Amino acid sequence: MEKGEAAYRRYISGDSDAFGEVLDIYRDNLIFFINRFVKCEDIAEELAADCFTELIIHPKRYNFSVSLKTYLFTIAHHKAVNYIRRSIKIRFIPLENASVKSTEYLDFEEKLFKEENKRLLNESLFKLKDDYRTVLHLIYFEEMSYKDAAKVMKKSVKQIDNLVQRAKLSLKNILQKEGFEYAE
Amino acid sequence: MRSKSEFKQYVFEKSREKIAVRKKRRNIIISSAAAFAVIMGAFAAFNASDLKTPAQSDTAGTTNTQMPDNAVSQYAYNNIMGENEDVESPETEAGNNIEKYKFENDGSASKPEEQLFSDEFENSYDKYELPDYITISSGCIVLAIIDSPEKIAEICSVTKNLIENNTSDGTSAETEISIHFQYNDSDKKNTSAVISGNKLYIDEKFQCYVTDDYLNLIDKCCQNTQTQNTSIVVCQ
Repeated sequence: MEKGEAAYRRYISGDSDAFGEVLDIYRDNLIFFINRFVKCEDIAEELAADCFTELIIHPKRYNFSVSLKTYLFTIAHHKAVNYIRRSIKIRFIPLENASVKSTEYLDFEEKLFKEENKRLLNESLFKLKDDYRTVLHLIYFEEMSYKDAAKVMKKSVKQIDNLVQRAKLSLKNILQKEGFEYAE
Repeated sequence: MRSKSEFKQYVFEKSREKIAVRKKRRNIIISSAAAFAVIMGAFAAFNASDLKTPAQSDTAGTTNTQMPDNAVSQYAYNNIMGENEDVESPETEAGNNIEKYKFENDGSASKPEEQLFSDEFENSYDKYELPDYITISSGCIVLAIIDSPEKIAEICSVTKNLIENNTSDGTSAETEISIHFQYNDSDKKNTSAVISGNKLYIDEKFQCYVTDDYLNLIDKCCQNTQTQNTSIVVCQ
């Protein structure tokens, strides 16, 4: 059992402090994942908060048959896609520099992008189609199995496999255009 | 961006707010459901009477009766006029809408949900085989008036199928729909009861998830063969 699941189980059993552990474990990854879609950290944070409130308001919906991470990322995927659909109708204009990243989140990003290549890779991911970006993020950043990624994206494992292949090819083309030296 | 401790506090505050809103909304839904039940009860009483409208008349080939302009009203219309009426639609815009949403009652019928929700839902409702007197739409509407134990059994069967087919996923759903069973017991004609707290969650692809409360409610309704004139009100 994952640490997050164990903490959530304790929270359901009445240990209210345990929810803080759940937040500590998943918060940054979830914001980072949602930000892939919404491209605004404040909105990503807001949607991540919504995902966690789901755990508080509807504890019975999660039945421990999948990992808590998969469950949370499924909700996050759902909310992010819904947000994008809505924001097509209502255009939001981001206030530049209105938001300051928290120190914890900066640390998280710093840790993630230790190398310049990884930073370039991250930026290139934003140029991919939504599905390609999502699948690569889940598989390579979150290190999910194809099975879990399939659950999050509501696709079959075979479809995930195909998506990964196509996404990698598409990413390779983008990186080469950016002048990235691709090691065979 | 919030620090971790601020974020934690924010999540708890947000949860409290959402729970408060849900409670408030539930009370409103119950009131609305009661109002709808009264209105639909009146429709049912009207239907039960022998009062014939031009459309029901044997001699009436056409009707000048104004047709309702949406599928929900179509249901109410069918309910009053008789579901198998071969009513010719008037040549009005509203009438054309009715044609679009009209569904046959011959068993192999096209289902109203598909027409209402278009291809977006990938015909996912096919497998549930909803009885054709049920319509589903957003907003507070009456789905069906149950005027016989057979129909109750059918509703129970349908909802049970929904439950069995869709509870294994364990994922969250975007749209939350409350179903309230309101019934008049045949022995106590002037009383009715709204059973609330039962929840059926339907996501954008019409996958359904239900709570234990809802399962219990279905069991209760299935056992109560005396229940008549039950209306199912869906509120979004």
